[in-house]
Amino acid sequence: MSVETRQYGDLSTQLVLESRRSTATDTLLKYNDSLVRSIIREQRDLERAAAPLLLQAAAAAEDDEDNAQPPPPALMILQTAILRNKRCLLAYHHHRTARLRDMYWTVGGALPHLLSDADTRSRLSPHEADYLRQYHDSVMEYRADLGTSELDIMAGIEKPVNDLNVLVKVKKECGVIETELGTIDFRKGQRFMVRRADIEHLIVQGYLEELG
Amino acid sequence: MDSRDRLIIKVFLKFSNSLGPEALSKVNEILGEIEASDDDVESIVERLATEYNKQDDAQMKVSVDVLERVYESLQEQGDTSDPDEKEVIDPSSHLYVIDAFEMPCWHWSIERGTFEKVSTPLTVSGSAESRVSAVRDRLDIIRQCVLRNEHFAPSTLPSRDRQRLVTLKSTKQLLGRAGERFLLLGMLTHSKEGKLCLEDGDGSVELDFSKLDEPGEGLFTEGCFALVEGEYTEEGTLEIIAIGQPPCETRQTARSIYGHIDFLGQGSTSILEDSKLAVRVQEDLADLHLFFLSDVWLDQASTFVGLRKMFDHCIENDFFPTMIVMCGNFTSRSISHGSSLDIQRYQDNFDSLADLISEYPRFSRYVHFVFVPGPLDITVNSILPRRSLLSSFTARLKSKLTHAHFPSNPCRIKFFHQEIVIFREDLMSRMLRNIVGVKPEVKSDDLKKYLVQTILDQAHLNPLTANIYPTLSDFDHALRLYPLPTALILADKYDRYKVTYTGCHVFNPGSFLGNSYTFSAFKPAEVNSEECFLDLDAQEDT
Repeated sequence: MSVETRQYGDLSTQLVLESRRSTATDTLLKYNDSLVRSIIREQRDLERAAAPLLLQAAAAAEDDEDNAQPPPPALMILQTAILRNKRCLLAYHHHRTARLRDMYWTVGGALPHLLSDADTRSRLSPHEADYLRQYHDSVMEYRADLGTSELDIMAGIEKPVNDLNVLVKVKKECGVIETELGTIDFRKGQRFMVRRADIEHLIVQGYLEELG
Repeated sequence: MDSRDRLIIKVFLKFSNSLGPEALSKVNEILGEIEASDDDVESIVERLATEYNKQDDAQMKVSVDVLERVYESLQEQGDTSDPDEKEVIDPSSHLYVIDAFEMPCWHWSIERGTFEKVSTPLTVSGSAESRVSAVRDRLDIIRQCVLRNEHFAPSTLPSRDRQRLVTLKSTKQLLGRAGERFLLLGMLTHSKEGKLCLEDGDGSVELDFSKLDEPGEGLFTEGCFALVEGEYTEEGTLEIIAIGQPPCETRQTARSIYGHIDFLGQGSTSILEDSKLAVRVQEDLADLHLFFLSDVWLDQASTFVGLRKMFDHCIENDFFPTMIVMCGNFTSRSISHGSSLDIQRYQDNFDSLADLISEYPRFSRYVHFVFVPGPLDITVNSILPRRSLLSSFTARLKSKLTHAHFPSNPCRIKFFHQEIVIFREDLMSRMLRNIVGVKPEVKSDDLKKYLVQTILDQAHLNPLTANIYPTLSDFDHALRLYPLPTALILADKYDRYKVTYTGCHVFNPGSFLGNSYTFSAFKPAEVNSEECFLDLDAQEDT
């Protein structure tokens, strides 16, 4: 972060750029705590700078009420900067939460799978991890209303399933797994013809690979 | 496969979990244990699966260990399903004594700007890299705190007084800029010529104290990190205008950034859980106490009288602590070079302590006892962190007490969301012996305050260079105080004190034997300690 700068709101531009980069490269970047903190500090500084101007304007308005003066231009600039910073902060966080939700749905709602990945975990701020947990709880609550058997809301909607059974190849060893139709021992490299509903989540989490 | 198995699988499938045969039989076992009827099975399994997925180490494939843990915690909660009865929490299940040698090592990574776990096995001898990185970590952790601090962060507003505001620089930037003012953060050391230098990650600069009126608050020792402001001169020295301790950060701030990092190796808790636990501790465990005793000299007969008195007193008033921490030295004089007779006597003293405590079944069965070795006690190593007491001395204590812990020095206690660090060392005298600067005319009260402030600001229990007081470099992180603990016990032979600084409660229980029997009682609900005295003159009664 360069210190030699700059005008109001440069920092928030950096923040928004980061969101852009995240979208462009399709990765979740590390939560930029220090930048967010400095923007919040800038907000406070801006507000401190605006406070005397506000008082001045109020005093001027009181002095002669007949021909009301417009607020001083400096105040307008400060306010614009404040609002813009706020918008950028909101945009950054909205973008991140949206990304987190996307990640959540791509792994089929398997939150432990997502959080146990050290690489992903290190990029989350603690608050984001809490957010994911609460989101997961809400989804689970909603899902409980639908009952156990009727509908799997976690299933993908992009590729509708046209077959009950599926041919899979084991990519990551996951040992003996009990399914409704019996026990299967998944060993790396083996192929199985199994009922889709039983192992859907294993495909999503990358243990199995769908063939053909 | 019967319908019940099928249902279990189905419910777990809903949570994207798969069961192995062991896990399936475990769930069946649990269902059998609580004699669930077929109608209830679904809701019970669902509850189980929900709780399972809340665990941090929950795998896709349900692990039996985690499942067992979940079931146990559910049982605890289940006992209090009666709405009239207030939820009872067993403090013991949230009480962990953590040995310094079991803590994971987190190393600060400048590139990634966060902590990274060191995966190589930690050894007592340490490696060349770990010796360097141990000291660098101390500096980097303080630096990242300083950079976040509002007083030192570069101004965010472009304005005229930006020139006046001095930002943190490195010694690398000094070269060829004589006559300019700089703010540096570095370690105070002596150079080869014996002059005082400031050393940071890039280099070092000689300090010139001639213009300085008086240093900032705190004890400046050789090896501590200080913020120094001064003018760089043609001679290559820095003429100091001001010197101060780095600012420190509250536990909440540090947790809000590094909350997901498991510094203690006991599973990380989220901030949300922490705040829930904090409320519970305050409401339900308001009268819970931990006792801290220091310098329990077992070779003095009066110590046993005092302990007996303390136990009697507790029973009389029907007031029992959850934990009693006894810090060394467990002998009033050094026996490290003593004869075999001395060592035999040392062991006998521990045995008689065990006998004494076992006379009070209420204590020996339910109260947790923690024995922290002091500088004079016999342990495997004498460098910090010190290993626990030798097991041959403590065999009888172990057999007589239900909950006896023998951790290292320093050790940590994790109690719900709180972290309590216990350190037995004659820290005040050691710091004063190696001091290079302090405000003139300090009084004893100031010294105590300065000591606490220095230790917390340095975020380290041993802010001295390796040649004065070395540490095991691979375990240097165990002495680190970042994030700040909730409470820090600096057991010292020096006078007793208690100070709260940036939200961290620091106290010294003082020697147990003195004009009266003294110890401290720590109240987690209020994060405060009380000094307790038992009169000596009542000896005749007992």
